[in-house]
Amino acid sequence: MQNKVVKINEACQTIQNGETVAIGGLTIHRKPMSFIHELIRSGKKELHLLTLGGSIDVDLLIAAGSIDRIDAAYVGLEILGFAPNFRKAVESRVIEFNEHTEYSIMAGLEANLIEAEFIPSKLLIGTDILKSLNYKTFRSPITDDLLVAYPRICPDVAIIHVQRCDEYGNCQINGINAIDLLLAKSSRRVIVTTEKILPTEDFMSVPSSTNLPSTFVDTVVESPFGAHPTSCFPHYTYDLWHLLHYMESSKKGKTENYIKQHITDLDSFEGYLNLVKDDVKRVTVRES
Amino acid sequence: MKLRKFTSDEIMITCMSREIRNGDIAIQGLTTPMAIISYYLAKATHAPQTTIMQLAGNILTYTKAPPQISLLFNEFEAMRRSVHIGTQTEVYEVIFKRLESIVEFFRPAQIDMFGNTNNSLIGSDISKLRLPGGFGIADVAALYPRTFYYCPRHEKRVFVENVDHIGGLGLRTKSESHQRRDIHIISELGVFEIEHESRRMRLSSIHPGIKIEDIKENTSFEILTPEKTQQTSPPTELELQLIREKIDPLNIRRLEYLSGKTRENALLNILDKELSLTI
Repeated sequence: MQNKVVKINEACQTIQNGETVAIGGLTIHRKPMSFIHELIRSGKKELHLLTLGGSIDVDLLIAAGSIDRIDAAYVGLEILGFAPNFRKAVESRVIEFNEHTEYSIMAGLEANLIEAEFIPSKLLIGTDILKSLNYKTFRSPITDDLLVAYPRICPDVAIIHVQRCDEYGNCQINGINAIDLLLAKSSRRVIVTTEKILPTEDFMSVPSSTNLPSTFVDTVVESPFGAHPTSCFPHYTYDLWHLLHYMESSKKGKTENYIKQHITDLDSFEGYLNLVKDDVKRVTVRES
Repeated sequence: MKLRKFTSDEIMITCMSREIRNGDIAIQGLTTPMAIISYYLAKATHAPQTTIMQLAGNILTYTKAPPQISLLFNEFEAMRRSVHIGTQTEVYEVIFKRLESIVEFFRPAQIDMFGNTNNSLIGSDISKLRLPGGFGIADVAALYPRTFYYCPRHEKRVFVENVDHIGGLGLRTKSESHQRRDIHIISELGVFEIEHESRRMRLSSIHPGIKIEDIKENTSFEILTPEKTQQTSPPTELELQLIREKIDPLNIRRLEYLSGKTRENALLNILDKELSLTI
């Protein structure tokens, strides 16, 4: 076992332009926002993004010109509505969007995990989503039924924000879980950002709570409030006010200003947290 | 339209709730407050043994008294009553294993006369209007023996002749595998189903105070109607009380009807109320 803790900029440097980056969390829950900021600050380009459900994470990377292609089953701001830059970029074909379903992503990752070229299933036959994905169908060699070949999806790196882990990357993920364990298992490298790094002893007393073990993790970055303005149960809820403010600025075509003010003009995510400290305070749950 | 003692969201939630059978497993997807309200209502009335899987199904929650739903603390509220946190893969494992018992209410952006639905894009080509995406609807709509849709806005642009992009599969194709499926639609005007023989949408019951003409004027295709129209049973006093006072006193359900600035103001209003109560 080795200590895997590095600074966020060091972790970000390991990502090459053009790589496929899988983002954990779900919509406005537990997104690795500090790392998204770092990707933008370091000027990454031509990334391929994969996420089950995206929101401001995807939208910011699109506005910053960091990504070429996005694979997701949903990109939107849940109850708040459309993700403005995603919508604009897909409608004007600035980026390529592969609309998946939950299953097509899970099956693709599962195939990669077991090193299969594809996983066969009957799901999605007859839908236009399958046509748009351009997945092949074939006859089952056993029953002659029509099946879809869900090809393997191979992320180069997964970025997952967690509530707590130790220096080796033993993680306790809390709240909505999504497909983060599958992402970690099926991606070549795994970077974990965490609210807190705790002593390993804390994990030994409750081993069944370690739902993402260090054996799947390569890099650990400590990043308190690293999911803001998305949620990180039980520490803070999603910041719907900040997200509304973001949407408002984007509607006026001023996401560039938002990015400048909140990301690129600042040295670090700490600078962002300082800038929006009243927002953060509003959604932080007091420890009882 | 004459004045009614209940609003259209309330009768819709009541209809949705009544589709749940005692012992069913009710799954909540993304951004569907009316669905979760209807599950809680069912659990507090005729179907106390309903199992609820919340927030896209990851979180298995237990509750006796109906809890109050939250906009700001949706995840926190679910976690407080959770007995298990699963993964999305596991949600599908539950679906595959318990197909007969699953109830899930989806909200389509478009639905056509065959029961096909679309949450992908509006317009015949991708450069038109891009929607957030259907998440898991297309995976499971053709799989469930009973598929449920709810449409708070019964409008021509929602009830279209043919959807622009098929996500949730209806009964348009004759293939045997799809024939035994039931598709139910609950809108602000009535309750509908896809008739098996004709594979066309048919009116099951019309809400009190609504006329057939209201449905015709707001639908882009001809809906089959029975000779004698049945009226939807209105919400009972108990159902109304549970919705208004216990489950959703903040009126989060109304957000499903609003748009633009009105919606944003309603949203901020609810958030401020919640904030003053908690943290």
